[in-house]
Amino acid sequence: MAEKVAALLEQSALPAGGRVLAETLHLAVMPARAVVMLRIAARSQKSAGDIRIAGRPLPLAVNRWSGDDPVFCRIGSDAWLLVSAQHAAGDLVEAVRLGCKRRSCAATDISDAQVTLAIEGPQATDLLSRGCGLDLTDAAFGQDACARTRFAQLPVVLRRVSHERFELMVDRSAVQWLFDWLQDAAIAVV
Amino acid sequence: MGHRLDSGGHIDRSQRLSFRWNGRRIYAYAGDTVASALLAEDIAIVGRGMKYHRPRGVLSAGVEEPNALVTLGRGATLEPNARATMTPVRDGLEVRSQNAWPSVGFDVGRLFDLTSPLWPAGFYNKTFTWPSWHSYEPLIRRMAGLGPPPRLPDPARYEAVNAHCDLLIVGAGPAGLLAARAAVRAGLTVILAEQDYECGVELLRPTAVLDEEPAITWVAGVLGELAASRNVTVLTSTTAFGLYDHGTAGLLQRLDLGGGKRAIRQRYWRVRARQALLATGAIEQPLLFGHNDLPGIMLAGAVRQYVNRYAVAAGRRVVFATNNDSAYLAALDLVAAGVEVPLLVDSRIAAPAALADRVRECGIEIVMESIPVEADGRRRLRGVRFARMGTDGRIAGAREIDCDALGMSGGWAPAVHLYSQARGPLRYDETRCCFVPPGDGAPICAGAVTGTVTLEETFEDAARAVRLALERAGVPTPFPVDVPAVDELAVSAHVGPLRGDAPGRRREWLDFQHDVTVKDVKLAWDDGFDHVELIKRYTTAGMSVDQGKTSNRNTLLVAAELRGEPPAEVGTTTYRPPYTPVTLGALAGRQTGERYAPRRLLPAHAEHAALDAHWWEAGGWMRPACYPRKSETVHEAVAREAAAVRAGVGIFDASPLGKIEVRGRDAAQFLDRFYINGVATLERGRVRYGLMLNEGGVVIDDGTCARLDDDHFVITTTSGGASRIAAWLEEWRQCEWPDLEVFVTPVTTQWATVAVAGPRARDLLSRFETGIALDTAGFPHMTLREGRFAGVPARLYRVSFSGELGYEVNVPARHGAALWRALLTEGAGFDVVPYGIETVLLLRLEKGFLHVGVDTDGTTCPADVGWGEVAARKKADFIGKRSLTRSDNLRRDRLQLVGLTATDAAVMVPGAHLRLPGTQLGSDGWVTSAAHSPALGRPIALAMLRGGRSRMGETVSVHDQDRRGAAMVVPTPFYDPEGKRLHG
Repeated sequence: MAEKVAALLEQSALPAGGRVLAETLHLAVMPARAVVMLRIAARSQKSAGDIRIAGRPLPLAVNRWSGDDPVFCRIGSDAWLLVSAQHAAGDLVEAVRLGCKRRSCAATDISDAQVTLAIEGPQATDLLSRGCGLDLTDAAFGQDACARTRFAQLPVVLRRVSHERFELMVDRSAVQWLFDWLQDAAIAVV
Repeated sequence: MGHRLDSGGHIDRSQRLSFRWNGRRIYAYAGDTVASALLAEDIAIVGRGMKYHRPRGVLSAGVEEPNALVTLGRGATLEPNARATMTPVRDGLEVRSQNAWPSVGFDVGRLFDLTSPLWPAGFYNKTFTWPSWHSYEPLIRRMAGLGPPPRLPDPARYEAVNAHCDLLIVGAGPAGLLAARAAVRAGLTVILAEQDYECGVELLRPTAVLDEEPAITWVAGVLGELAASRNVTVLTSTTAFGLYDHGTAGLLQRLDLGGGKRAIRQRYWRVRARQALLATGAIEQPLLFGHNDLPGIMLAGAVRQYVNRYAVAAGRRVVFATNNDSAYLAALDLVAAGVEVPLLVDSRIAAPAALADRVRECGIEIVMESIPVEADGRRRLRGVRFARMGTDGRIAGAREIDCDALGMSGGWAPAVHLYSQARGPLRYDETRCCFVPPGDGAPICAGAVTGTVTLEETFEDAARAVRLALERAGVPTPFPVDVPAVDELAVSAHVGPLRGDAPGRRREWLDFQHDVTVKDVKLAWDDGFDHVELIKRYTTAGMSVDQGKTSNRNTLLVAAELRGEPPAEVGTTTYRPPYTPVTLGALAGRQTGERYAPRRLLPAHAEHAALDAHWWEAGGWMRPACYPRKSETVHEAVAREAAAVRAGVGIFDASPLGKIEVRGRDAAQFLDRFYINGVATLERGRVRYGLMLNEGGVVIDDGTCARLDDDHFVITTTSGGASRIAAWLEEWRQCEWPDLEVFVTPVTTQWATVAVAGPRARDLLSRFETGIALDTAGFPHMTLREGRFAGVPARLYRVSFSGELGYEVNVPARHGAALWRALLTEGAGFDVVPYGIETVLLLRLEKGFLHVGVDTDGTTCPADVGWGEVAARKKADFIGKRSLTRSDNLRRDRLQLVGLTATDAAVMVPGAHLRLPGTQLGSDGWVTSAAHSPALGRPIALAMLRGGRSRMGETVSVHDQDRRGAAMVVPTPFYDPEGKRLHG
C-alpha cells in the first residue's frame, strides 16, 4: 500500500507546465521545491552573519536573496525562506540545525504549502504591476530583491531572479486561481 | 446660431464621422466632441435642469460642464451622465439626452419650473410634510435626477494598474508640458496625466505664438521629446481624480474615448509618486444675472475654444460680458475667425488700454461699468439687457442688444481640488476673486492653478515649480529650464464685480447642475443657515456630480455678500475625491465574477469533482457540501451521509482546518495566554480543545492544541479563522510579548487532512500501514501520533467533530489526492461514504458542538456557551480573563446557548427569533443553527436564549417572519449525551 500511495505523488489540481502568453511574456508553474521557513530569535540575530547553511551565509539585508541552490530569501526581520530544487526539506532542516548550532531558531517545512510560478519576459513587470503595488523598477527592486507582499489579494513572496524573470511563491490552494488570474491579466498587457 | 466655420480648427476635415443624437444622424469630423458637433448643428437644447427641467445648452468646453450630460450607448454598454464636452465623436456612436420626457426639446417636467415657488431649496422639509415626505419621494425622485444606470451586466473589461514615478504631473497644458520636459531632461521618471484626449489644448489657437512660431509647433516639439524618452509615461484621456496620503494618486484612463475596439475600456492607475506637481489650470466661472442659464449663454473661454479648436462658432452674433480681461481675448479670436461680435460689456471701471484698443479696432463696442441684468428668450437666447453699475453695486438704466450667443466670464477659479484633497491650505486672492494655494507646499502647484493669467506668467511659474520639484528630488541645482518666449497681448489679473444689485429680476442661476439660484442662498441665509458648509447642504449648491466646478466660487461670493464679510472670512468648502465621477467598473477592475476573491482548492479537488460534489464556497475554499447521488436532493444526500457515518464509516476532506505550528522555548507559556483552559501542562502527544478570547472576553475562535514536543505545538483553528488567528498570535508575539522566545508558522496548506469517522473508522485505518497502534488503549481520544501513513509522513489525531469514533489523518498536501483515493478504495469493503461540510455541520449539531461565528457573535463570552467554569478555574492569566469579571458578563439574563426541539420544523430556521412565555414585544434570543436530525427523527436547533440555561424544559415561541411555532428548551448534546461513541 505504501508504494501505491507513494507512486501517486502529484500536484493535484495544479495547471501543468507553463503557458506562452506572448513572445514577450511567459508563465510557468515550477516543479515542486523544498521550502523551509527559518525563524531566528531576535537575541540570536546579532550573530546571524556567522551562520552558514550548506556552507553559505544567510543574506542579512531584509528583502534580499542570495544563493543558487538553496536560495536564501530574507523576507522579514526574523524570517528567511530556504528554497531548493536539489535538496529535500528534511536535509535543509538538518542543515539549519547544524548551521544555527545553539542559536534559538525554528525551521519548518512548508514545501507542500507553496507553489512557485515563474513570470518571464520583457513585459513581466507590466503583468506584475496589475497585481502588486511594489515598485518593480530595476532601481527599486533589483536582481537580488525579494519581498513578502500581496499580489492579487493573495499573500505571496516575490523574487526577482533576473532582469526579466520573477518568481511568485503562492499558497498551494490558490495557485490555480492565480494562474488563471495572470493569464487573464495578460490580455491587457500583450 | 451655432455653425461650423469653413476653415480653421484642429479637426480633421478629411475624416467625416457620424453619430446619432436622439436618433437623428449628426455629421462631424475626427477631433470633434459630441458638444462641438451639436453646436455646429445649432442644437441649442442638450439637457434639462435636474430639478426644474429648464432647457439647458452647452455651457463649457471641458470637465466642468454641468448641462450637456448625455447617455452614451444602449443596453449593456449604456453609459449615463457622460459629459458631451469630453466625449470625442466616433462613428456610429449613439447619444441620447436624459432626464426629459417626452423629449429634451419638449419636456413635461418643465411644469416644475412653472410651479417653482412650490419647490424652493429644502422643499422636502417644508412643502411635502403631510402625510409624509415618503409619500411623494418616489415620484419626485423619478422626475428628478440624472441618466438611469445600465441594468445589464457590463461586458467591457476594466483593469487596475500600479505605477510608481518620481514626479506625477497632473495636466498637460503649457505648465505641465514645460515641467514634464524639464523633469525628464533631469532624469526623473515622470507620469504626465491629461484629462483631455490631447495635450496642450490651451495652445491650440492660431493667435498663440511661442518662440516666434505657432504654439502648436512648440507643443509638438515637447511631445516628441517626451515620446523619445523612456522615463515618461504620457496618459491622455486620463483624469487624476484623487490625491491621497503619501503621494498616492488615483487616475482614471478612458481608453474607450479614442475610438475603435479596445481590449480594455477603462484603466484605474494607482500611482505612487515621490512628488506631485499640479498643473491643473483654472475653471472659468459664470456671471450672475437673470436667466443666465438660457441655451446660447456660454463661458467666454468655451466660446473661444469652440472656434479655435473645432472651428465652431457659438452664434452668428456673439456678445461678451465679463468682469476680467480673458473675454477680450475670446472676442478677438472670434472676430479673427469671421464671427460678428458687436459688443463687450465689462463690469469694471477700466481695462488695460492696449487690450481695449485692440478690441475696439476690431469694431467691437466696449461698455464699461456695466453688467447684464437679464437674458431674453424662452428656449434659447434672443438678446441680453444690460445696465450701468454704480459704485454701490446698484444698477441704473438699461440697454438691450439682440444676439444669439453670449460669452460670459465671471473670472477664473483655480482647479485646486487635488491640492485641497492633499490637505493643502488655501488663501483667498482679492485681486483674482478666487482661492489659490498660498505657496510652495506639497504638492507643488504650477501655472493657472496658482492664479497666473498670462502665458508668460504661466511658463515662468511652471519653471519655478519644476525647479522646486527637482531640488526636492535631489537634482543638483541650478538646473536649466527652457522657457519659450511668448508673444501675446498684456492682460491683467484684476477681476471686477460678479453681479449687480437689481431687485425683482428673474432668477440668477448659481449651480446649473443642481438648479440652485442666488435666491436659494438668500433663503438659506434667512432660515439661519449662515455658514458656508450649511448653505451648501441646505441648497445643495456644489453637491452634484460636477462638485460645483462652476458654482462653488460664486456661491461663496454670494454668501460673503449676505454675511457682509470678505470672502476670505467666509472660507471655502472641502473638496473630496473624485474630481470627476469614476465608474464602478473602473474601481472594481477585474475583481468581478470568478476573480472577485481568490478561490482556494482542496488538494483532492479533482477527486471531489469526480464524485459530483455539490460545492459550497466557504471561507474562500471550494468545499464539497455533500455528494448527491442521482436524483437525490441536497437534503437527502446530507441525511444519507450522516446516517452512514453513524452506522459505518465516512471520510471528510478537512484540509482547510487551520493549522499553526508554535515552536520555541516559551511556546507553552505563550499559548497558555491565549486559551481559556490550560495548555502549559499538556503532555506530549495529547490534544486539548479550547476557546480563544479577545481582550473583551469575547469568543473569537476555537480549536485544538496538540503538543508534539516540549517546545513544539500544533494548534488548529476554524477554517475561516486560520489566517486571522495566525496574525493574532503574531501580533501579540511581536507587540506585547517580544520577550518570549516563540515562533509562529501557519501550515494550514502544508497538510492535507481527511477525517475518518464512524464506528468502523478504526477498521478502515487498520487497512493501512501506519506503525501506530490504533486501539483506544494505545491511541485514546484527544491524542496525536506522528508516524507514517501508507508510506508517507503523517500526523494522526484521535479527535471527533461528529460524535463518532474519529481520526484525522494529516499527510503532506502533495499526497492529499492520493490519500483520498486510497481511503475510498480501501473503504469500499466497509461501504465507506464520502461526506461534505453540510453533513459535518449536521453531525456536530446533533452533538451540540459549538460552531464559532455561527452559534456565537461579537458579544459571546465563554459562560454563554457553557465554558464559564472552565475559564473561572484557570488561575493563570489569559487574554480576555479580566473582562470576564465585568458585571455585564456575569448577568444571569445573558443570552446563553441552549438546545431546542420542536415538532414543527418549518419555523426552526437559523435567525428565527425566540420569545419567552409572557413576552409580547422584542426578542429573547434567536436560533443559531437548525436542522432535521436523521438520528433523532425530529427538528433540533441550537439557540441563544435569554437566561437560557435556567429554562430547561420550558416552551418558547419561535418567530420567523410571519410564521410562528413553539419549541422546548433542552440540554445538549441531543445525541449520545454520554459520549460513549466517540470513546469507542
